[in-house]
This record gives sequence, C-alpha cells and structure tokens, in this order.
Amino acid sequence: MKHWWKNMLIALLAAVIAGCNADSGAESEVDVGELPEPGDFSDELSIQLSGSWTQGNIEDNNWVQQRLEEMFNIEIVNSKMDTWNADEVSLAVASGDLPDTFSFTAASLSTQEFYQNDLTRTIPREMIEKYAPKYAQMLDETPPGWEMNKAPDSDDEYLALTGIQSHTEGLLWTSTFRLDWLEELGIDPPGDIEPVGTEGGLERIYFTDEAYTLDELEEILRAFTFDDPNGNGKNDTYGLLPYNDQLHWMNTIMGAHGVAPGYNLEEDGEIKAAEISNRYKEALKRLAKWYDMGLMDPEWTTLDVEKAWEKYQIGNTGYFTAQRSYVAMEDWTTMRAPQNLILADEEAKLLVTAPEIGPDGDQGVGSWMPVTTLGQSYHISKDVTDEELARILQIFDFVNHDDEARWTLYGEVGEHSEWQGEPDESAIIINDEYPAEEGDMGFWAYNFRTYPGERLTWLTSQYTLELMDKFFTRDDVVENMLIRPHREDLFEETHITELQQRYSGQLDTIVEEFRMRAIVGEIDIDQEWDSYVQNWLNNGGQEILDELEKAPLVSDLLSE
Amino acid sequence: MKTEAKGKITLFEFLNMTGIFLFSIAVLYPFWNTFILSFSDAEQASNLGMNLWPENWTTIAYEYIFTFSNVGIAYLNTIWRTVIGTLLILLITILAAYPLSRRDLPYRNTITIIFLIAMFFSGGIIPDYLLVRNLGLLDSRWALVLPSAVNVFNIIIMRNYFMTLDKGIEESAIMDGASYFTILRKIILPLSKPVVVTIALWAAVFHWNEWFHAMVYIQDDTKEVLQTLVRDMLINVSPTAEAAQVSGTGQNTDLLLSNVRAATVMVSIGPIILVYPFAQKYFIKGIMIGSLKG
Amino acid sequence: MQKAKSNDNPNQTKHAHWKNVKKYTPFYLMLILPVIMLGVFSYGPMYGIIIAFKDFSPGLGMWRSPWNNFDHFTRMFNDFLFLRALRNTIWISLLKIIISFPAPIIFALLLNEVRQMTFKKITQSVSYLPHFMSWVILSSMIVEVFSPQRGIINYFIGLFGVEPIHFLASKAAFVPILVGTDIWKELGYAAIIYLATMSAIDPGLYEAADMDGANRFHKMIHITIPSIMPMIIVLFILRLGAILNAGFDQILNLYNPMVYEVADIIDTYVYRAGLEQFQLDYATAVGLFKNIVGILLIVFANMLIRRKSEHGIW
Repeated sequence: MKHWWKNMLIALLAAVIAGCNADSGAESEVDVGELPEPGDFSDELSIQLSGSWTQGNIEDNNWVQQRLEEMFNIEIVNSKMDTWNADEVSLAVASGDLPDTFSFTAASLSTQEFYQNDLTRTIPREMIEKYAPKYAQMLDETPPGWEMNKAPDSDDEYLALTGIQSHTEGLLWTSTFRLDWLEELGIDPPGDIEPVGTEGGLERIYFTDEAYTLDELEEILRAFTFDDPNGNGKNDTYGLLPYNDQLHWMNTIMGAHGVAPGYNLEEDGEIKAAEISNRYKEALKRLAKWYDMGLMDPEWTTLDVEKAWEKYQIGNTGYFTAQRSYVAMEDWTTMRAPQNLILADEEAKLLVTAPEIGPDGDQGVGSWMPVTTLGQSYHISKDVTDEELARILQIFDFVNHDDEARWTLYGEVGEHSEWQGEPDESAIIINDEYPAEEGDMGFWAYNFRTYPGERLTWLTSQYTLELMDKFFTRDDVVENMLIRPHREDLFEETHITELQQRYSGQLDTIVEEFRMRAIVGEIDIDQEWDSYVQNWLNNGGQEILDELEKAPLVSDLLSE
Repeated sequence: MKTEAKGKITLFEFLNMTGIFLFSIAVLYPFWNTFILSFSDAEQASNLGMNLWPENWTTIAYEYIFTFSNVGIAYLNTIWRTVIGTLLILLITILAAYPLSRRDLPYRNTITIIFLIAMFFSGGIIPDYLLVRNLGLLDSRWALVLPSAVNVFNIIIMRNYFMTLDKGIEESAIMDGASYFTILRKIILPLSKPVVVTIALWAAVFHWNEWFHAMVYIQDDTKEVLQTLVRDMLINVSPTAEAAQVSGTGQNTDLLLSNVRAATVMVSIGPIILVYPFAQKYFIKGIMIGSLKG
Repeated sequence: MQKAKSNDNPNQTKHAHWKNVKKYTPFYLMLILPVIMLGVFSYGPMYGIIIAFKDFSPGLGMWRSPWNNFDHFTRMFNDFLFLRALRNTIWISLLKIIISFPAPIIFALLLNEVRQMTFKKITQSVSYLPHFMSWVILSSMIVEVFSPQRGIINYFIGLFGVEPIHFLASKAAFVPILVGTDIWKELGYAAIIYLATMSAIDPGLYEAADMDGANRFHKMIHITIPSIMPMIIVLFILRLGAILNAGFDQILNLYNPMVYEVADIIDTYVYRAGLEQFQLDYATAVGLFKNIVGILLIVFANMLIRRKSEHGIW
C-alpha cells in the first residue's frame, strides 16, 4: 500500500513536471522520441496553413485541401490574408494575428526580427531530419545549407525553413536589339546568331552569346535614332526607351561599368554602395551623354515600366533589356517588351546578345540573389506545438520537396493542366477554366517559393531552359558576368536591415533624384558629385556602410 | 428673373452656358475614354494616345472579370453596406447635429470639441483592428458600417445648416406642446431636405468607394465588397510587382492591362451612373428646384 | 452656453443651472447614441497614439514597448527631406485652398444662374463623374494629355511654333497641373453642398429684390452669397485643418523624381520609405504631427472668424 502511494505520487509529480515542460514549449528541449513517428497521423490536428502564394483568394474545402486533409489527417484552416499586400501583412504582424505557417511576399520583418519580436518559434534540427528528410537532403547538397536561418547562439535550432530559388540562378537580364533595323542599317551581329525557336514568333528572335562593346552600342543607338532604321523617312525612332520606376533598363550598361545598382562593392580599398562609386558615376556620365545626343526617348521620365512596354510595342525603339524568359516568350511575359512587339508586328525581328562589354572589359548584370540560391523563409508561428510542428514539417516536405506532390501546384496533368510542349520536358500550364492559384482548386495555396529538383522544369518552357544551358547559367558566364555584392549579411548577424529600413526613404530619394536629373543634364555630374556623395553619407549612408563592414565577404561565403 | 422673358438668352447666359458646356466636355472625356477602353481588345488598349472610338467592339475584358471574380456577390454586399451604412450615418448625424445646433444647449461647446478631437486624432489601424476583433465583428458586414457611423465632418455641416433655419416655427411648435423629437421629425428635417440629401449622397458615395476597412476586416469571400475586387484588379495584380518578375507561375497576363482595368472601373461605377438619373429626380427636388425659385 | 448672471447667488446659480440642464434632457437623449458610438469607435482605439512616443515592438505590444524620448520627432526635424516635404505640402495645400476651394462656389453660383432645366440637370450630373474615377485611372489620361509627343496640349502650342514641353517633368508646370487637375476632378462634387444650401434660400428674398429692380448680379452679391456664407466659412475652417494633406493619391500617381523637389509631400515621402508598413511608430508620429498642426489651425481660424461673425465651428 505504502509503495502504491509513493509510486502514485512520483507519477503525479512527473506528470506535472512534464506538463510544465510541454507548456513552456519552444524554450524547453524537445524530446523527439516522444512525438509520433513520421507517417503516424493518428491524432487529427487543426492547422492554419499559408504559403508564398496565399493572396486571399482561397475557397474553403478546395480540391487540394481535401486531398491534403485526408493524407495527413488534419483540418486545414485556410488563411485568407493577402500575403502580397503590405498593409495586410503589416497589420497581421503588428497585431500578432499570424497563421501557423507563413512566408510573406510583401516585404515585412526579417527572420531575425520575427523571432526577436516573439512571433515565431524555432525548429530543432533533429525534427527537420526526422520529419522533413527531403528538405534536409536539399540542405546537405546546397551550400551553405544548414547555415541559413540558424537561431542565434545555437547550433541545432532554426528560425525558419529555407527555400531554394533555382529559377534565379545565373544571369536573368540581357540586351536585345531590333534585328530588322540592324539589317536595314547594315550592322552585323557581334557573333553567330541562331533562332530561339521555330514557331510562334520565336523563329524571329535570334540569340548570340557574343556582345557588342559599349562604344559599338553607342554607334548603334545613334544609328537607330538618326539613320531612319524603319525606313519611313521620318525621324521618329529612338535608341533607348528607359522608364522611371525601375532600373532594369540600364542593367547591362551599368554592368559594363562593373556595377550593379543596389549592391555594395569595393573600390579604392574601401567598401562603397554602388550608387556612390566612381564606376556608377562613369556609367551615369555615359547615359547623360547619350541623353544629350538625343538617343533616349525624352518622355521616359514620366513613363513607368508598363507604359514603356506599351510604347515599345509601337515599334519606335531599337534597344531594350529583357529577361531570358521574356525572349523565350514564356506565357506570363507576352504583354511585356520586347516580345510584345514580336506578337504585334510580324515583320519585327529581335537580336538577343550577351550584355555589353565596357571600356575595362567589364560585362554582366547584377545577380538576382546576392550570394546563394538559398533564400526566402518559411516561418512557424510561436504558438505551434511540437506535435503540430512535426505534422507541418511532413506536409512541408511533401508539398515542396516530393515530386509526387505536383498535383498541389497543377492538379492532374491532362485533366486540370496540360504540358506546354513535349510531356515531361516542357512547362505545365493550368487550363483556362481553373484558377491558376488558390480559388476552388487550391493550386499553389499551401506551397512555399522553393524549386528543388525537377520543379523548375514544371514552370519553365524548354526554350528558357535551352537558353539557360547555352548561356545564362553556363559556368563561365556565371563566373565572369554575374555581379555580386562585396559583402552580404547572409546570416542576418548585423543590424543592416534595421538601418536600411530607417534610412531607405532618405537615401533612395537622394539617389533617384540625382540619377534622373544627372541623366537629363539638369545636374553637372562632375561638379555635383562630391556633395551628392557627402549628402548620401551624412543621411545614414555612412552608418550603413560601417555596419556592412561587420558582414562577411561574399568571396569567403562563395568559397565555403 | 421672372421679370425677364423666358425664351430670351442674354449674353451673360450664353457665355455662362458655353463655359459650363466646355467644362462638361472636359470632365466627360476620362469617363468616355474608360468606357471605350473597356470595350477595346488588348491590342488597341495598348495603343497610346487618345482613344475616341473602339476599332473592334469586344466584351472580352468583361467576360474575364465576371468569370474570375465574385462580382455578383460583391455587388450585393456593396449595396447592403451602402444602404445600411448610409442610414446609420444619417441617423447618427441627425441625432448629433440637432442638439449641437442649439446655441443655448449647456456644454454645447465642450461636446462639439469632443467630437472635433475625434475627427483629428485616431489611434491608427492596429487598435482599430483589435477593437473590431474584440467586438467579434471580424468577417462581419457590420464591421464595415459601425466604425464609420460617426462622421464628425457631416455632423458639423448638418449642424450648421440647422443653425441657419428660422427658429420661429420651432418656438411656436413648442407652444403647441410638441416634443423636440417631434419637432426634429416634423419640422426640422423636412425643412432640411437639401442638406439631408447631400449628406446621404456623401455617405452613399463613401460607402460605395470604401475599400480599406473591407480589405482589413473581411476575409470571407462571400462578404467581399466590390471595391476590394476593383482594387485587386487595379493595383495588386500589377505585373510589375518585384516578386512576380521571377515567379514563374502561369498567371494569364494577356488581359491584365488597360482594358481590364477600364472594364473594372465601368463595372464599379456603372451602377452609379445608371441609377443616377432616377436618384436625381429626388435629388433635384431637394436641391435644385429651390435654387431655381430665384 | 447660457451663462447665469454673475451677480446671482452661487447656490441659486447652481440650481438654475441644473434646472436648465434638465430642460434640455431630450437633446442629451438624442446625443446618447452618437456619443456612445464616438466613445467606442473613436476614443476606444485612441490609445494607439502612444506609439508615436515609443519604439514599437509587435512582440511587446503597444503598452509594454519602451518609451523613446521623442526620438521620432527629433528624427523628423533632422531629416532635410522631411522638411522639404513639409514645405511642399504647405505650399501645394495653400495653393489648393486659394484656388481649388473657391472654384466650386463659383461653379455653383454660375450653375444657379442657368435657367434651362435640362441643360442644368445634365451638366450637373456630368460634373460629378470624375469624382468617381480613381487617380490611378485619371493619371494615365493626364499623362497622355500632357505628353510631349502625343499630348493635345503640346499639339496646340505646336501650332504656334512652340517646341514640345514635357510638362509633367517640369518643376514650373507640375504644381499648377496638380491644382488644375484637382479642380477638374472635384469641382462638380464639391459644388453639391453649395447648391443644396442655395436651395434653402427663401424665394421671397429674390422676389422682393426683383421688386426693387435688382439685377442678377446684385441678387447674387446681396442674397445668394450671404446666404451660403456660413457654409463657406465652416468648410473653409475644416479645409484649413487638413492643410498637411496635399493630395496623396493624386501626387503619387503623377509625380516622378524630376519634380520631387517641388512635388514630394509628407505623405508621399513617408509612403516611399515604406514607413507606413514597417515603422508604424514613426508613421504614427508623423500623423500626430499633421493632426496637431491641423487642429491648431482650426482653433486659430475659428477664433479669428468668431471675432468678426457668429459663424464658427464652436
């Protein structure tokens, strides 16, 4: 009897302690052995799932939801916030009303800030390895893999799951010319050219991996502007058609000066932002010269990129930069320049070249991601329990890393979607009668922006893939032409994000104003340069650069 | 004016009407342009410059909108909130404006200032949201009409109008033993038709156009209002969003251009334009006839 | 407020006072519902203002976030771009008050003189139309109208041999365009309240004036304008209170870096910096500053006007 009481007491005590532990959740060590084995879905859980494409258009009990609920014995509570809308995201963050899983497309807090603000929980490595083996394998194979999103002062806890942005690998942007104009003017392409495809307009888009020099480009732009390339006898053409809300129009020209706007670089032994570097200054001077020569459409200061696309389609512009997927005429790009003109005008022909070569042999464009294709964070909300996390990890691993889960993105190919070209070798297009995302089908609704394995091929046409092989992701091209920052706070170890948030309004205004007014000749670049740089440094720029010194060198990150 | 012969048009009148006519043309143009664009195909819609007549009439943009969004439900919800919201604003405005129009009301200035302060200071969207959530109004249509029911601007305008009314009739009604509620209903309001109609119009237009509360407080698709749909079409699907540039998802962007935007605008303001002539009948009784009596 | 005479016995005064209040019971009953709504939906969430004085952290919430010693306000006034935006805001707003504010009054007066009912009806309803169009839509048309290559304005001045002018990229032309398009969009809608007020004018006044042989112009000056004056004054005072709102949507959709120097206002600057979303505390401080300026102006204007006439807000 006595022993019985004693045992009872001990058991009770143990239960109370265990209970306390369970309550304190994230802070205590997780005993993974206590959790259900992978594949054991006997407890029904209710989980509020959201992903990278959650834009508030989901319908309850959609097709994907039903299948996932059955597979994992869960009840999915759909999140109806629009994760691409900055207002909704900031409200959700500020009020703490976050779904169990989330990855916001609208800019919000950094992964570190989410954690510091007590909005997310950590994920133990042991659980990742046990419940998300395919994801773990991706991290093993992709450096710096397990270093990404690590919790501070911990070796085996993570603040978020990381995506792989394989679609941004290599060069995204390059230059295009009106080939019919070049022919009319008797200007030869810089190298051998071949058509990108055989039909649908692709047969009129030619590609070469050679490039013009900047001086040759200048001569071509001059001829495009003044030598009546369209042969209508009117002086109605321009070489360049810039726009005022993005910088892509000058990607390659900046690249020819060895600079990528937005990144930092090392110059004269010190770290500088691209916008205050001498190379950027030289590039601006060249653009200002071109504007003065009359090579740019003077209306550009009031055109945003969409208007510029529309204007390009009129057919009075000779040169335009484009993404590789544009010139492969991917479905989602057909209203964009320059391929919109190919569709609108059957006489038009395009020449796609490598980015121009600058005076010092520089050539290329900035990389989309600064260091690695690992990027984007999938957060787990603070209130998620270990058992729920185990289930979430298994769902995550399935929908994002298992090729079997293609139906979560495209439904059944043949029924809900079709191959664009050859089966298994081309992109998959969802049929018109189904919503491309969310809606009553729920495609893409629970997925994270990550494209491991063969997923990239599902959303990329064979023409883009061919262009990537031929040039855009070729090892030597990536090596020589991809401009990366000098230092990058890849692991969020500094306060750069915070400083940038604080000063971006001032700094961007200073930079944008100077750039535009310099190009149109309102400002004498040589005369005003020093005071511009000083102004930039004094308004938070210096503070950001000082902080940046604490971040690792990109060259070191790459060699690891 | 009665002394002037009806048919004669003086030089002043001629110039006046010409001026007003030219102004009407200027304000009609954007509407006409949008109307034309909404019936144009994507190709013409992407032609820059002035569009005065569509080359090929097509309803493709409208088909797109009606296929891919809950326009029908959104209309019903918008009509609901416009009707209920307008009635609520009117009720609150009248109830607040009448007492505050009495110069002799004790504490009148204090109360006025309390109202005024609320016009200027607000806690911002987070506490607003938390309040609506704590009241259990999230995802309820009432969240669209209750928080905006007190409109201090309207109260002050109506109060001022009441203040210009002749006090004589009111006094004699009191002598007859009428209560203030009766006076308000039977005397003040009928005399104030123009301002009541104006504020009703303001309130209705406000509720018809309002999107922010709808975006923040309503997530259930069956409670979505027209303007959040319109906004999605006008702004959120802008193909220039950084993220969309490299997201390979197969959005059908053929249509996401000027013509769909134009059609969306037509869908959202069309009913106002169509209903207006009927509403104007009543409106004119309130507003215009009186002014003609000169 | 009715004030008891100063030579009254204090006790009696108090008593009379309460009796007085009691007499107004029906009015206070009417006010109950509006005051409750105001309390719940306006004053209830007003505590949110405190984050203007704090470093807001979502994890800690509004109450527990630390105070930061007016850092947001120091920051505002140490930022030369903010000060430039403040200057632009005031300038654009003043121009709009001076030019756009009287425009609907004049329009209403002119429309009031039209006797052809059909013409009047049609033009009045047409004049509201642009109010219903958002600036996103209107701006693309405005850009076309002022385009140096296709714009109708440059076409006309081209007939006189003038080189095309890129109006929207010109610092000199941009602000006048803002004021002009603002009038164009809001004139008809803003005129409604004045037309409504005019309709309440006692027709007898006009008839009496006719007897005296007054002409149209005299009647406008001596009857119509004085009758709508109280409304004009109230709207003017309220408009002054919004002086630091110079037209966010309009400017955001029309401006570009070429004209930042004259066109960047507080709201666009704060918006561009993404401050609304990620620095709610700073954005709240900016909003608080704007509103304090607004209410001070209202108090001041009301004081001035009360000295001259009885039509104030209080």
